[in-house]
Amino acid sequence: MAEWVSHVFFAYALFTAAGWSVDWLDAKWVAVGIVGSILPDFDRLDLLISDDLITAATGVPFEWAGLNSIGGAVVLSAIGALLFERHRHQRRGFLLLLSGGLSHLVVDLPQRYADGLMLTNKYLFPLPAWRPPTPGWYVSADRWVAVVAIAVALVVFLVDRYRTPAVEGAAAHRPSQ
Amino acid sequence: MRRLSRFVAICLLVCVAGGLCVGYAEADRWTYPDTEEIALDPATYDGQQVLLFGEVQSVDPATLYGEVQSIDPAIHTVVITAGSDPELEFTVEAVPESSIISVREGAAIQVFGVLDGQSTTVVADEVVVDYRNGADFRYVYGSSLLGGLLAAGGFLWYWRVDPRKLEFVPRGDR
Repeated sequence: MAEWVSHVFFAYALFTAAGWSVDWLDAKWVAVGIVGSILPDFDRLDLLISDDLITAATGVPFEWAGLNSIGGAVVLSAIGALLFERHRHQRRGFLLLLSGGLSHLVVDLPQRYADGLMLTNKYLFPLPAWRPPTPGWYVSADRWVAVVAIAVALVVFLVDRYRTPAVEGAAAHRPSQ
Repeated sequence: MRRLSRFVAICLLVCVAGGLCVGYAEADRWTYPDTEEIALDPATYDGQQVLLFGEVQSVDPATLYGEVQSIDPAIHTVVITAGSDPELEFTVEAVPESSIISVREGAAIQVFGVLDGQSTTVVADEVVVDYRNGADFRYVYGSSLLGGLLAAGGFLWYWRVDPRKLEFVPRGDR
């Protein structure tokens, strides 16, 4: 896992930039996408209630790591989406949460692993456990990852501000979403 | 009625999420033996390749504090514990000098290597240091907490949680 500052700023950049071509993707939906970008790390619930404790209590094998995957992203996004009030909001909420969750998995892909392969056996669950080579760009504690994420987010933020005045007039006249 | 059906749907999805965690625990998604398998019959795994995510228990004292004295790289050893249910202890041999200098007790490292000595030893082909020391752990947890607060803050700036209906409602004026 990269730390959450990196995930949050990469997601901000991704969804803000996506909003330039998707009409309804405004700041409130960017905020939803950013929440999505930390959903896969719900497997860190392991730190509160450990896998072993649950297995011992229930007698069933259990690993929170199952959530840090494509399957986990879909299910957690669906739960989150149901908490929005209208159907249209639910659909958009699902799309943004899921995209955020997938962005998390993609950002985590190029991490360094001692056998030289990606951790896709985890991330692809419940799809087949295929593991291509990893470029090994970083480990969780590398500080420069957050620096890059913040720099990318800053560039997108500035571009976004620069373009906003031109479309703001149009947005103000659009019926509220 | 709509609230009830939504509540039921959420309960079902939470069950599905739990099912994913159980399914993941039951599936063997690794090509290497895990500590559960090794513990059952340690001797049979000698010569086999493993990938271990371990916590450093001790570092060969001769190499502590950057004073690398040993010449034979095979003497660069650390002792790690890895796996859960059960947690096993391994002596990792042939740890590269760059890794041995940076790690302290409590560090989190990955070892890719070959088991030996009835699965008490791993001869490392490759070591990756994930967390060198307490400062690395504090950085990752601290920045994750900050990232989480930013995500939550951003969300609540644009959305209101209706506690009665358990719903996210957009704040109209933003």
